[in-house]
Amino acid sequence: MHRIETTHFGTVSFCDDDVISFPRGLPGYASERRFIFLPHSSPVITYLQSVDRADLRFVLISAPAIDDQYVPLIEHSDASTLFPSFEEAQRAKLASWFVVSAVPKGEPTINMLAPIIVRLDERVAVQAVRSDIKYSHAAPLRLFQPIAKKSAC
Amino acid sequence: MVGRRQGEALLIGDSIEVQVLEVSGNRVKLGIKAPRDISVVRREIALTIVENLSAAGELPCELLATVLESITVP
Repeated sequence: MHRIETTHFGTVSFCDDDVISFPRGLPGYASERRFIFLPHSSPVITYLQSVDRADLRFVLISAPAIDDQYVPLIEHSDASTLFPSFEEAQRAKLASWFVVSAVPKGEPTINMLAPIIVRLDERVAVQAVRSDIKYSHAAPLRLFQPIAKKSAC
Repeated sequence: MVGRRQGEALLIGDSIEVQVLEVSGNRVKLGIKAPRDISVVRREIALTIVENLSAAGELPCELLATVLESITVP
């Protein structure tokens, strides 16, 4: 068991199996490779806390809970990070999340251009930036209605 | 708007050159010559960097809580 002092959540305990590996970091935070999920009272929301940097945390919201028609576009470089082989791609269990942000007037938005894709069985993840123009990088959160039948993962 | 064919190029200012290397279906491969201090990055990556930097900052907690409450699964 490990303990870290975080800026937003105080002392947090976790074990090695809790760590989510981002082999390529995240855009803007390329050197941050290890994170843990911290629960929120809502099942569709989670915090993504850096293990190595106390002040770095993201608020994530479940992509299926926001838009059950949303299909992540995982490009080749991200796919090779998540699935070293075709066989692994077939059996992988994935969860997808949108990063919640607030710019520039303080209204919460979600980045649907670049969902966080977590391979649950291997605890490896990428932020899969899509190159099409189908989704916004800053979609206002208030525009979305709850999808009651969905859960966080 | 500037129309270019494969192998042709255009200049941006005095120091940036963009050449159309290959056109295949709906994909275009570009070659870019630029000074080292000019960052060349895909637009969607640049947008996500800005969003991530903002997301990691202070979120307006009260407003966020209100919005999140409204979309919370009952």
